[in-house]
Amino acid sequence: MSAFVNEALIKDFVADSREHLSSIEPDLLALEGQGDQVDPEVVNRVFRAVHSIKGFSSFLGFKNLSDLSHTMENLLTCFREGRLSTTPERIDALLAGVDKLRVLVEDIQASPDVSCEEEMSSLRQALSDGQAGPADQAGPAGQTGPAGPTAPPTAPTGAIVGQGTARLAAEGGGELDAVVFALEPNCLEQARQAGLSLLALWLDPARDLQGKGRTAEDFLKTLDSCGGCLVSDLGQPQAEGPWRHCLLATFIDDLEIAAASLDLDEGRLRFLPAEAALAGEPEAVDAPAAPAAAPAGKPRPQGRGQGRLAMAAPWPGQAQPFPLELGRGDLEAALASNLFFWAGWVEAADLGGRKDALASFLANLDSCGRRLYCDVEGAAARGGVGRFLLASVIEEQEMAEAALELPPQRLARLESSLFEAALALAAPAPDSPAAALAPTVAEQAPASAFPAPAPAPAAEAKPVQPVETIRVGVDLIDQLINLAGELVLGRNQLVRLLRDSSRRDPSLSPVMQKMDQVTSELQENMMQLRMQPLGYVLGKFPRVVRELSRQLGKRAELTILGADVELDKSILEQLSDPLTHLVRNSLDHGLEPPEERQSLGKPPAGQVIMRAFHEEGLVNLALQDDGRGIDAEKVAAKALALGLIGPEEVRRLSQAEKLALITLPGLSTAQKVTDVSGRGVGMDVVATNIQKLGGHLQIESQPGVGTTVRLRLPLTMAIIPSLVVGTGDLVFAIAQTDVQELVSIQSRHASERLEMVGEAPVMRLRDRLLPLVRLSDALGLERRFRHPATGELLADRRKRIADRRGRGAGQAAGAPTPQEIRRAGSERRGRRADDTNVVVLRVGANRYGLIVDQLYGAEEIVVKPLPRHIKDCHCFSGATIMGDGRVAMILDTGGIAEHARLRFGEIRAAEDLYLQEKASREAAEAQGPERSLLLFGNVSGELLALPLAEVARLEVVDPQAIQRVAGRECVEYGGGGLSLLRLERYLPVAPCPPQAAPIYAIIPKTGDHQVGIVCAGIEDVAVTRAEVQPFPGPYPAARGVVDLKGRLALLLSAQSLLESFARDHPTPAGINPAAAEAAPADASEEA
Amino acid sequence: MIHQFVTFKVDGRLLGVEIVRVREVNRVLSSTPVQHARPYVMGLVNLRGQIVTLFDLGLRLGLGPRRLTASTHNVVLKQEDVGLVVDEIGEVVEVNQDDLEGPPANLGGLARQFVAEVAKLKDELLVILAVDKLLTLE
Repeated sequence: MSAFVNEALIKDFVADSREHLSSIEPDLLALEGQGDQVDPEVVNRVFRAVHSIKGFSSFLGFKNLSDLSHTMENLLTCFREGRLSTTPERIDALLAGVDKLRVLVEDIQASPDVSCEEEMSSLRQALSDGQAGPADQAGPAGQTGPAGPTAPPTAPTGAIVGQGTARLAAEGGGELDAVVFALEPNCLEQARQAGLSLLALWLDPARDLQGKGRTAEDFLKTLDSCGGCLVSDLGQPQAEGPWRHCLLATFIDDLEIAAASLDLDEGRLRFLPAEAALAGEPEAVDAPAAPAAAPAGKPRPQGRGQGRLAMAAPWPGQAQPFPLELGRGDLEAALASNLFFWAGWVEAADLGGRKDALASFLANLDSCGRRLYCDVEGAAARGGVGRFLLASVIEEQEMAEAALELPPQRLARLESSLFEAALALAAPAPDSPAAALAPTVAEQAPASAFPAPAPAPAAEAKPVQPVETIRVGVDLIDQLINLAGELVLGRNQLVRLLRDSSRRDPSLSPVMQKMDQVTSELQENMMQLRMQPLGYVLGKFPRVVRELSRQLGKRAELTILGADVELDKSILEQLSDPLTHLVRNSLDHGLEPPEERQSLGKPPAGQVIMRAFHEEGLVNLALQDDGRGIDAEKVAAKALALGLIGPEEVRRLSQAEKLALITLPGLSTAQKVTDVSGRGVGMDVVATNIQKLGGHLQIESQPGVGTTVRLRLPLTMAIIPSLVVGTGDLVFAIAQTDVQELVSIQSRHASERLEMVGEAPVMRLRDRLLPLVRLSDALGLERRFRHPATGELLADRRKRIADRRGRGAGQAAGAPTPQEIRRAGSERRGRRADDTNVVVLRVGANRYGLIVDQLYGAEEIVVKPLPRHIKDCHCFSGATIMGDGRVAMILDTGGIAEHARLRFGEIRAAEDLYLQEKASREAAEAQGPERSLLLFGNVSGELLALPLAEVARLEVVDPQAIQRVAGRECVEYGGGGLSLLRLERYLPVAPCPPQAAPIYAIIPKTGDHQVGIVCAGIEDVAVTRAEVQPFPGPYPAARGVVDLKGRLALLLSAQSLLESFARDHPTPAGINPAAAEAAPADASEEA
Repeated sequence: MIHQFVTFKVDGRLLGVEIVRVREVNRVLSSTPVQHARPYVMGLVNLRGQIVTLFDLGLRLGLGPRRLTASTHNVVLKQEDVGLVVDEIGEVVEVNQDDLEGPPANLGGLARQFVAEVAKLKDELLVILAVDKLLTLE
C-alpha cells in the first residue's frame, strides 16, 4: 500500500511520532520509580503514545515500527493491568524500544532495513521474566483484588464449557474437538485493545506435556512468557475428551513462531479472530460488564458497553439498506473524532489464497481505523459475503481502497450525519456518553508535553483535557513575525506623521492609541509563537543521567528547575548536544564514585542540578554538580604544557580565566579518556556552539565542592540585543554577546596604547595585547571621516592605525589629519570624533579589538538570515532592519577575525614576551628602585654620591674667589652669594685638598639654591639598583653605602646636610623656610 | 498560446521576464551595500519587512553598472527575494508562442547564458531573460 501513501502523510507521521516519543521517555522514567504502584494516568499516556505510533505506522505499512510498538504495547498492558511491576530492566527494554522507534522514525524510508530483533527480544524477555516471577504474582494480587482481568496461570478463572461452534473444528481438520472458551468480555476486549492475538491451543497432556518432560505448570509459564493465558482447563482433571484447551492472548502473530515458542505442533494452534468469539455471543460482550468482573481501581480501557444501536445503512454492492447493530460508544467516539465512515464488503474469494489472509485483512482493517461492525470472519468460513463498517482517518476513496487492498466498488463512504441521525433517534444511552468519548478523544490529542508532572491518583478517572493545538510551518510563522515587525515600523511612522494632526483633530488620538496598543500586543504574541519551553530539551536528561550513571558505576540525582522557561525553537534545537556534553562531563569527571563520596562525607548520590531562569533579558542555564570540581591550576598547567599559552600569561590569569582555558581546543585534563568524555574536543565544541547561538559560557568551580557551568543565551535568535556601530556613513550591528567592552582611546594617548607587533596593529589593554582590526579595512571600505567643521565625509588616506598618534605620517601622506582640521576649525568639540573607538570582541577564547568610527549605542534587532547570494560574505552573520527601515548588516566577529587573518598565536607570543620583560623589570624593581647617582669625591679612593634627582646644578668654583662672610665661605654667584658647605665638617670624609683647583659646588634642589656642597672632583653619573647598606655612626647626613660594581660609595643626604648647615649658620643668609620645614620630615624619613 | 512579459530597459536594450515570475515592480532602491559580495549584488533593501537582494541587472548581464535615476526601477522576482534593478520599466507585452525564437548568434555583449528566447516586436527585439540562470550562483 505504500505506493499510495503520500509524502505529506509520512511527514505528518514522523512529526507526530517524534512528539509522542519525546513524551514517552519522561513518563517511562516516572514509572520506573513507581514499582507496583504505577500511576495509571502515566501508563495510559505512554500506552496511548505507543499505540498511536503503532496505528499510524501500520497504516503506512512500516512493519518494523508497528511490530516493535506492538510489542512495547504488550509490556505496557501488563503494567497497566498491574500484572508486572516496573523494574529497571523492563523500563530499560522499553527505553531501548523508544530509542529504536526514534531511529526508525528519523530515517523512515530506511526503516524496513533496520533490524529490531534485539529490542523485540529484550521486550519479550521483560514480558516473560515478569510473568514467571513469583514476586510479580504477589503484587497485582494485592492490588487488583480477586477478579484480575487475566487469570494467573495456575488458577484460570474462565471455564471451558460444552461443545461449541463448528467453525473452529472444521478448520482443524477433524482431529481436534470444538470448544467454546467462556471468559470475561473485558479480557477479550483488553487483548484486542492491546493488539494481542488470540490463540487457541489443543493439548494432549500425555504427548505434549509428559512426553516433552514438562508439567502443566511449566507449560502455563511458557504460555505466559508469550503473552497471557486467558483460559485453560489444564488444571481440571475431569475434563471430557482427550484434549485440554488453552486460550492465549499473545503478541505472536505467526503460527510458526507460536508453535516453536510453545513447542507444539502447528496443527494444535488456531488463531482466533477476536471478533469471531464476540460475534458468537454478543450479549456477553456488549452487556454492561458486571461490576464484579471489572477489575476494581483500574480504568476500563474502553468505554464500551453502553448499549447498541440498531440501524440500517446503504451499502455498496446491494440495493437494499443493510441492517446492522453498532456499539453506541464506538460510534459516538468515532463521531467525536471526526472520523470517516467506510462501508464495504468482501467475499471469501478475496480472502482466499494465503491461509492467514483473513487475519491479515482484519489486521489491515484495524490499522486503518476502528471496526464498528464486521462479519467478515463468519463470511470467510461460510464462503459468503462479509461486510464491515470502519471508522477511519482516511478520507479518500482511493486511499482507503489501497489501504484495505480491495478491488474497486467495494467501499463507500457513508455520511456521518446518517449516524448522528440514528443516534439522535435512538433512546438515550444508559450512561453518559462522555465517559465513553474521553479515552478516544484523548488519544487523538497530542500527547501531553514534558514535564508531565504525575497527576494525583485521584485524577485517574478524569479525562485528560486535550490542549488544542495546530501545526503550522515555521516559515509561515517567520513571515508573520516579519510582517508584525513591519507593522510596528509603519505604526511608528504613522504616529510621527499624525502627531501634529491629532492636536487639531482630537478624535484621532484614541484611534492612534488603540492601534498602537494592538500593534504592540500583536508583535509580542507573534514572538511567543516561536518560543518553546526548555523542558523539551531538558526532558531527555533524566534518561541520560540514569544511563550514564549506571554505565559509569556512579550514583546521580538530577534536579531540573525552570523547565518552563521559554526559548526560541531554533536555539532550543541546538542546545541539546552541548548540554548533553556538559552533563556527561559532570557525571564522568565531576561526580566521584559513591564510596569515594561517602569517604568525603558527601551523600553517595551526586547531585546534578539544571536550573534555568531569566536574567537581564537573557536566559541563564546553569548546570551544577557537587563533584570533585576542576582545579584551575591544573587546567592552566596543562594548557602551558601543551603550549596553548605562555608561562607569563598564565601568571596573569585570574582563576576564572584559567578555568576558561578548558574551552581551548585540544585541552582535556582527564587522566584517561573514557567512552563518555575526555578527548579534549568537547568543551571547545560546546563553547563554539553556544557562541554560535549568540550565547556565552562561563565555568565556576571549587575543587572538592563542585562545578557550575553557566550558559547565557538570548531568548531568541530572531531578536537579539546588539551594539550598533558605524564606519563612514554605514551602520552595522554586532551581537551584544560578542562584545566584551568598549574602549575609547583619546588621541593624545594613542601613542602609548597603540603599537605594532610585526605588521599587526595591537592595543595595550590592562597589560594584555589586543590585536586590532579596523572595520573599514576588513570590509574593504574607503576610510572616511566626517569633517568636523563642514560635516561632509572625506577620504582618510592614512595607512596605519598607529598613524593616528603622530601628525607626521598623516601630513606626509598629503591628507589633512583630523588634528589639522581640528586646529583649523574654530569648533573644538570635534575632538571626540578623533578618539579611537575600539569594540573589544570575544571569539572563542580569543579577543580582538574592532576599530569603528562611530558607536551609536545598544539596540534590539531582529535577525534575518543572509540571502543566498551573499551567504559567502564571511564578515556578516545576518542582516537586520533598523528603526528607520534601512537594512543593516550584522557583523560576524569570527568571520572578521578570519578575514583580517588575525594571528592570535603571534600576538600571544608577543604578549608573553612583553609580560616576561615587564616581569623581569618588576622583579628588578622589587629589589630596589633604579636611581642615578652623581659620583664625586675629595680624594681618589673615596667615593661620595648624591642622588642626581636631588641635584639642581653644578658650579665650578675658583678657590681663589672664596670669601668669608660671617663665619661662612661664600662665592659670588649670579648676583647673589652662594654659601659653601664643607662635607668634612659633617661627615668622616677626607677634606677637599686646599691645592685643588678648580673645585666644584653641588647645589641641591632642596633649599633656596644658596648653598653649594664643595668637592674636589666630579667623577661620573652612575645608574644603579643596588641596595643602600646602612652606614654606622651618628651621621644623619650619611644615608648609607652603595655598592657600585665593586666600588663603594657613601650616599649622602643633601637635605640633612643643608639642615645641619643651617643649624651651624643661623644667620643671615637665611635658609629657605620651606626647606626648613621640609627638613624634619626628611630627617624622620632618614631615621 | 500567448505569453505575457514584463519588459524593461537596461543600457537601452529591451529585456523581459515572464510575468508569472514577477512579484512586483517598485522604486524601493535605497539599498545597503554588502561588502565582499559579488559585484552584481547592489545591496539589500527592506521590502515590507522582507530583505530583498538587489541585482544590478547590467552587471549581471555583462553590461555596465547602473546609475540610479528617476526612472530606475526594481523588478522583484517571485521565486526568491531578488530584485532586478533596471533603467526603465516598460509595458507588459503579449507575445504569441510562434513569435518566440531561440537566442540569435549575436547578442551584442549580452552574456548568452542568461537569454532564454527573443521575440521580434513591431519595431524592436525583446530579449527574454532566463530567470533561473540569473539566480544561479556560480
